[in-house]
Amino acid sequence: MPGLVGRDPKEAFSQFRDHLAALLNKTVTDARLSLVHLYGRDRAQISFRENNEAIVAPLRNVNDLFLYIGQTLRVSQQPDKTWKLRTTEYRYRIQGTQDIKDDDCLRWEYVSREVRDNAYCRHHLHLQGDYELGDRRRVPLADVHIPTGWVTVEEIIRFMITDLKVPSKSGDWEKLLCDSEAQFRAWTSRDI
Amino acid sequence: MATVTHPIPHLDASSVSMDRDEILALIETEARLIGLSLSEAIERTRKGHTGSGYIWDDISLLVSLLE
Repeated sequence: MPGLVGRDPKEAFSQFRDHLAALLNKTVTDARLSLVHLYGRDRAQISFRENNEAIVAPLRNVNDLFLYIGQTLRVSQQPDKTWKLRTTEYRYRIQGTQDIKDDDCLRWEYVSREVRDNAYCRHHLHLQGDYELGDRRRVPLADVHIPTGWVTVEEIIRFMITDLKVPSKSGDWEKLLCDSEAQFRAWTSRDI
Repeated sequence: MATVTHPIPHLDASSVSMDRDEILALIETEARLIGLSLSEAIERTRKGHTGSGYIWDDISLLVSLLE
């Protein structure tokens, strides 16, 4: 049976955090990804933290780009008594300052229907500004939910390195990302 | 909702287990950064009336842990 599993919820959550943290720290940032597990329950959250507060992570050798990564995770017990992990929400944001109110950003989001049964696309992107669609319709890109597929952390890292010219700490970042994506496919059975 | 006074375990470790009150204290810490009380931040999150900025992203995810 595929999936990221642990002998208990904390082990499953920690495996996932450790994997993502290592990937991020080998490529684009030195910031620490922290896991907060609701004690005795089936859920946890990850984000970059310093002194208990969420931060946007400074990117290596870049002064004007910052990354927020947040996910909520849940586990469910399997027939063999192991605990299998799934992501129920993600939020990725790339912005130009560390300002906590900075909203000039690229923002990818996912909300599982088990968390909230929204009418809009579960996987979506928010941008800034307006788009003039046809003659009359103004589309506010920060407010609408532009559909995407499942966006992985690996794809966000790849976008930052190739398009935003963020230097990678590792010279073999492509292999690191491909290996991580292979692990993701094995854990989730998702075809990315 | 009363102000939470429960101490937060310092997140020196990369993985921390917290009880409900400790997570509420974490949310309260972040709510203060944007000038809100804990109850205001939770109420606005539940109604979908969140503001801009990454702190709101984080508050929303932490609140969903407790739902």
